Amino acid sequence: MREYILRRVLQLIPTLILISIVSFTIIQLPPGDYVTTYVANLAAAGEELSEEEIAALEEHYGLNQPGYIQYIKWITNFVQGDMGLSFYWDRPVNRLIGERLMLTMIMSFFTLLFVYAMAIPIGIYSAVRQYSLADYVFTFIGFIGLATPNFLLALIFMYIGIKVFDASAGGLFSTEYLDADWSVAKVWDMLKHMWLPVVIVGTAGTAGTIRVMRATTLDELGRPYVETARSKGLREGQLTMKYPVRVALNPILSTIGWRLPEIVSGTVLVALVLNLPTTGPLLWRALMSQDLYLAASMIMILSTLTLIGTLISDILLAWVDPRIRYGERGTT
Amino acid sequence: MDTLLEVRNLQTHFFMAEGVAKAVDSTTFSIRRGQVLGVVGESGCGKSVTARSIMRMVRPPGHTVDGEILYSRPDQDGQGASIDLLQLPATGTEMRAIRGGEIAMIFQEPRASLSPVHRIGDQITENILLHQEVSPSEAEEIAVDMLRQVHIPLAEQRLDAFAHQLSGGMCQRVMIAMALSCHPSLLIADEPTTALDVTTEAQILELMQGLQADLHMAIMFITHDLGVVADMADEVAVMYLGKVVEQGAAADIFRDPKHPYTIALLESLPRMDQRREWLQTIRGVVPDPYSTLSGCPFHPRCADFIEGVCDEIVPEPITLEDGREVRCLLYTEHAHQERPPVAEDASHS
Repeated sequence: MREYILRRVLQLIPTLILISIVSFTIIQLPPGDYVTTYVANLAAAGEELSEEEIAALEEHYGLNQPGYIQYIKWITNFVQGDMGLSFYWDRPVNRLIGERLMLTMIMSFFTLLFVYAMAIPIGIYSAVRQYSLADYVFTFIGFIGLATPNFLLALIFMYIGIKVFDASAGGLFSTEYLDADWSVAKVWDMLKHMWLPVVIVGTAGTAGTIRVMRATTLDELGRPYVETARSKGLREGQLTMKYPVRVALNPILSTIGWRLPEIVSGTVLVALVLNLPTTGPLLWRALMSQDLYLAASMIMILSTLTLIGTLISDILLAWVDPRIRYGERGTT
Repeated sequence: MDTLLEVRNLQTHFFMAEGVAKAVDSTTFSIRRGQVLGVVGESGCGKSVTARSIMRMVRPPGHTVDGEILYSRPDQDGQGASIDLLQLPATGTEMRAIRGGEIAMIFQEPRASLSPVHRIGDQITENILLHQEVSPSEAEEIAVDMLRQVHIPLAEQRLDAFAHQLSGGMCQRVMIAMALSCHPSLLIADEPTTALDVTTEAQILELMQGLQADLHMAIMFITHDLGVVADMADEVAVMYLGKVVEQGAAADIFRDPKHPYTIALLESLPRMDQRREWLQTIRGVVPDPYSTLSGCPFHPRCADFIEGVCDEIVPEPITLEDGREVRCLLYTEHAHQERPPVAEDASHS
């Protein structure tokens, strides 16, 4: 087991290097760079810049150097914890991302919790009572949840919030805590605001996970080992939880890693609509304005989180499934 | 010898979108205490569904719609009280105490029948703890003892093994150890050796015979292999399309089969003492389970088919002189009538 974890951690290194190159290159792929966008914006506003001024800007941002030099500079600093300067905000990327990243992670954590707390019991129930009225109801709600875009759901909730409760549903904090320092009261205020975006962002995930949980449980329910358990005289509920559900949870565990980036990228539109101080809107704006270092750093961080998530789910899976733990499948 | 289990007119049907499949259609047979009953028949003739009906483990869309399964509790004081298992709630306390405790079952796919994510020891002790008043450590001792009885080497270490670490034969031994851990009076073995290679099969059969004698339990041995039945069984029940068409002592049936289906089955076996270019086969195929045949279900394939009799009258079980039960019109007065009048026909249905 220890060897397995070590091997998986070592495998992360080349993957991360590759991702850093790819994320840096992808941002540079669209024609032009931050300066051209900037100049175009100024031109649209009726202000012309001279050749010298443009060259000076490029010099200032280091954009006149070849791409690989820019990359090496950025990655060396990145590894040391300095993510460079945001052109657009004219502030260090570290400071821009810091709190937003933390809020994003807190929200992702609660969203995951919400998704699993809702989806796993419902999925099991739907499988065990297949084709029952409740199964049809959950399936119906689930498909609606899957089919409704998150941002639309956010708009609906905001409308209801204003019309019915006369309260704004946007943001993560009440006005009085917006710029306040962190305190117990502020955390409590945040939690009070957070459930709504968590429900909105988690709905699609919940619907999808219900389907997965239902399908895998159904698959396992018909397996011979379940019949063996039944032939021992175990109570139905007991044997369902101990055997098929236990096995059906494996694919859920192994996809925790993919859930994280899904939530982060899935929140962009919702965060824009609900005015959430998470990383989503920031990444969106960085990509729009070709804000090289900010965008590359954020993509890099998100990818790293994804890889860590995958690693965690792999370790979890090896921990719960002896067939993976022992690195072999029995001969038939 | 007293009867342990008597199945009367058992009907288990599957209610599918395509129609009602009568997997078990008025099956009648009995198992005596301490004896081996071999149940033979082609695939889909209802052997496994019969077994699951006895265990009350038929899953929807299957339902046992009619019949009686009389099980006499192994009382030592004179007369054993007999209960109809079909009257008990399938998932109730009483039925669950019988299932695994008094009637145990082993299956066709030994490895798939063990949980892939639980240790062998956990799965065996679970059964013991369910049915016996013992502590977990005592249960573990019983488990080790059972593993030794089924000749598993290094029994203590095996408790920590997972199914995928054992061979198919070993898995079936574990299943047997688990099933017998509470000393059931009946073991239902649903094709326990079909998925194993012949050498392993021989070992498992030998093991089962030994344990059957030691523990003095009855076995309902389901198979499609007549050779295995000849080897194992005291009595044989031959099934065709959800009905037992012939039941009797194994020796009698192999020496002198009565039902045309049994005769055809035995003739289709390859034999060492005869040189034949072609193996005998039974003509036709098993009809699909949704069709409803009039008369004897075997009549379209029967070599002794009597027109106007076999396709019109449903045969009832008849007891012959040697105690054998046969469901065939050849052994009734109908066989001697050329063509029964239509009016008389109604009285037999």
